[in-house]
Formats: sequence, structure tokens, C-alpha cells
Amino acid sequence: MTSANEKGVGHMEKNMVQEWIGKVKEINHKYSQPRLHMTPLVKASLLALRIYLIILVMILVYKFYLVVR
Amino acid sequence: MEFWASLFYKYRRLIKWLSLYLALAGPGIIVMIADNDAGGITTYAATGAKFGFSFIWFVILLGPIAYVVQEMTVRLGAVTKRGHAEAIFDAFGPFWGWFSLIDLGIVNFLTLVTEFIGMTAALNIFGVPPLVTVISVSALMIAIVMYGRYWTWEKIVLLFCTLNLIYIPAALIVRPDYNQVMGGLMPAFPYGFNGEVFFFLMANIGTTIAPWMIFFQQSSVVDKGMTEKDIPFGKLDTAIGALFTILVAVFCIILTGSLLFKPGGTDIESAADAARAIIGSQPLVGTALAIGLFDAGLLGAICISLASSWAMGEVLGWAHSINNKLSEAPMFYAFYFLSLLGAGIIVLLPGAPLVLITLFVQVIAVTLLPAALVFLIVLLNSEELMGKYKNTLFQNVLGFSIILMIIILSTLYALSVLFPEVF
Repeated sequence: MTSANEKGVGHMEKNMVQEWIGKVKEINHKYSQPRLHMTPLVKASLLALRIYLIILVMILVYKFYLVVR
Repeated sequence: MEFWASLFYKYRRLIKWLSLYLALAGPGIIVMIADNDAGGITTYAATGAKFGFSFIWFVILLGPIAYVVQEMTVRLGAVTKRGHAEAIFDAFGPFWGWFSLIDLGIVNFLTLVTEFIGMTAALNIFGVPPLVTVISVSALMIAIVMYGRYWTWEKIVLLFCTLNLIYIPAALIVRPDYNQVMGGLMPAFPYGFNGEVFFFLMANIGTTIAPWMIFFQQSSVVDKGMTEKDIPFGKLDTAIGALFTILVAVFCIILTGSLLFKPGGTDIESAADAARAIIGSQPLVGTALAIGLFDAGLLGAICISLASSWAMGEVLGWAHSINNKLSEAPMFYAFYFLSLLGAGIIVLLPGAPLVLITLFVQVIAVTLLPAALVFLIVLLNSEELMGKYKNTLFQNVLGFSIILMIIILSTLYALSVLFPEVF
């Protein structure tokens, strides 16, 4: 009985995960073509943003390393 | 006779205009006053206790800055009829979309925890146990969205916004030295410019523009159904909100500057500490400070949890309007309830790292704020999206300068929280 229940719960969880993955794929597909025209200025802004975020994440990781050490 | 007829006509037009404004007012005032959340009130109280009235001028400068940023969200929401999260997905694609949505979810949840910390600390002054505060606040917040009407929700929240003005009479009761207050209006650094001053100024900037505000106001404008023709009213609403937020901030500084400031400065950890310190000598004022802190936390919590739910709903395709009933938008309301439940549980957990969470919020917000601001100004420059409502050259110069300044200063603030020894 318990095993059947566990199996049911496991199946439900699997379905939920699959549903979410499907949803994410659907959203990714829906927005796959950015509507905004990518001018050089927009591209440069997004690149600057990526670099900023990478540096920030590196600083956060460094701080985490200092705390853990 | 013609004069009286013309006067009557102008009077009727004014009444009509005012009625229209009152019908459309809300998102701007709510977002701006909720900006003075528990963290904001703590920052202002600490600034007053540490430096007296010295930085009133600086706080006043932050009003127009907040207005410039938030005004852009009004135009973007009214023209595109999309919330900020959906607008990012649509304009920049899934990478930036998911980044913003997930980051917003994390930042907002942690900020929600800090709002609960503020509310429980405020009511604890009156002997209310944290468990009772968390349950009552959650029940109240659930009740005000359950009406299924945006209009009702907005008017109830505006009532809480009015309570936020409690700092104005409270500061007047203590009879501050008005000559000294006027002195604080002059831009100056009477205690020099050192790391500590810099930290406080950055903290004040950090509380003025938060990522959730951009997402909240844009979604709120959309949920309210505002269109292009309502933009002037939305701008006025935001300007009035900015005025109120600065008034509250200034009077909060006047309050703690009058009662707690001593030569050399007084250090306080939170607005609740300030209320406890004041309540012994000035029970009425201390009580007002505590009530104001509770209200600030409540307003912040209402707006932040809704900002997240709106953003999730927009992207994941759930029905996501407060006009929807629970049965019509179950996921939207479930997300809202679960956010409240999660934040409340964390605050009640014995030994939860609440101080660490408070500090971490300021750091993690910096990963989202620059991105949200950059997306905002890029979107506002798109002729395709905005048409004749796109930014003018003047708006761009102003917007770019302010956004650049916010990015630099908020990053420095986050770094000063991470590495206090450097500053």
C-alpha cells in the first residue's frame, strides 16, 4: 500500500517537473526572437551589463571564500 | 456676466480634472510612499541620530531622482500595457528575462523578510509576540487582495500610505530647532567627508531606488488599465508620491536628529531601537515612530509581494490581476500567499540569520538594479515600442546621468557592506 502511494507521489512529482520544463521551453520559444532592434548602442549596453555582472559575481564568490576560509 | 460664466467654466473644468486625477491616482503615490519601507525608515532614523539635520538637503535631492526613474515606468506601462518582467522577456529575449525574473524573486523575497523583521520589531515594543504579528499581518494582507477589485485594494493601501505621514506630526511635537533644520537645507558636510559619511549617503540612495519599485509601478499601471492619455495623470501621481516620500524622510530625520543626536553622533541599529530609546522620555513620539515603522514594513510587504506575483504571472502566463477572483487566478494568489508564508516563517525561526539577510539584501539588490535600469532606459528609447512617448534628448541626458550615478553609488554601497574595512 505504502509502496503504491510512494510510487503515486513520485509519479506526480515527475509529472510536475516535466510540466515545468515544458513551460520553460514554451516561454523560451515564445521570446526566442528579441523584439527590440539590436543597435550597436544596445549591444554595447548589454555587453557592459554582462561584464559588470560577471565582475560582481566574482567579488561575491571571493567574499564567500573569505568567509568560509 | 461673461467673466462669471468663464470663471464657472474654469471651475467646472478644474473639478472634472481633479475627479479624473483622483480616479487615476494610486500607483505613483503607493510606490513612492512604500519606498519608505522598514529599511528606509531605519536608514533615515540612523542618519538623523548620527548626523542630526546635516543631510536633509541630500535626502531632498533624492526626490527628483526617484521621480525621473519612476516616471519612465509609467510611460512604459501605459504604452506597452506590459509589466517590466514581460517587457524584458519580449525585448531582450529569454536570457535576460530569466535573469531578471529569478533575481527579482530572490531580492524581493529577502526584502520581504526584512519588512517582517521591521514589523515584528515595531509591534514587539508594545509587547506583541512576533508569531501574533506574522499571523495578523499575513491575514490582513491576504484579506486586502481577496476582494477581487483593484480599486478596493488601492484605496485600502492608500489609507496605509496616509498613516506613513505620522512622522510629520511626530517631528512637530518635539519642537525641533527650526534654525538648525534650515541649516540642514544647505548642501554641506559639517562633519567632513569620510568613509562613514559616504556609507550613510550611499545607504540613503540605496533606499530611494529599489528594483521592486520599477517592476511594481509598471505592473500596477497595467493592472489599473492606464493608457497613453492617462500618462500626464500618472506623472502627477508619481510627482506627488515623490514629494510625500521626501517629506516623510525629512521629518523622520528631524525626529531622530532632535531627540537622539549628540555631538559625535549616536549609533542606532534600527528604527525600532530608536523608538525604544525615545519612548521612555517622549511616549507619544516613540509610539508614533514604532507605528510608523510597522506601517512602513506593511506597505513594503504589500508592494513587494505583489511585484513578485505580478512578474511571475506576466511571464508564466497566469491570470495576474487583482481584479481576478481567487478561483480565476489561483497561481497568482498562491504565489502571493506562499511568499508571505515563507518570509513569515523565516522571521520566526529561532536563530535565523536575520542580520545577515538584511545585509545580503543590499548586496544582492545590486545585481538586479543596474540591469533593470539599463533595460528601462533602452526600452524607453525604442521608437518601435514607445512611438511618440519615447524619451526626449533632455529625458535621456537626465535619465542616463541619474542611472549611471545610481549604478556607481549602489555598487559602492554593496562593496562597502561586503568589505567595510576598505571604506
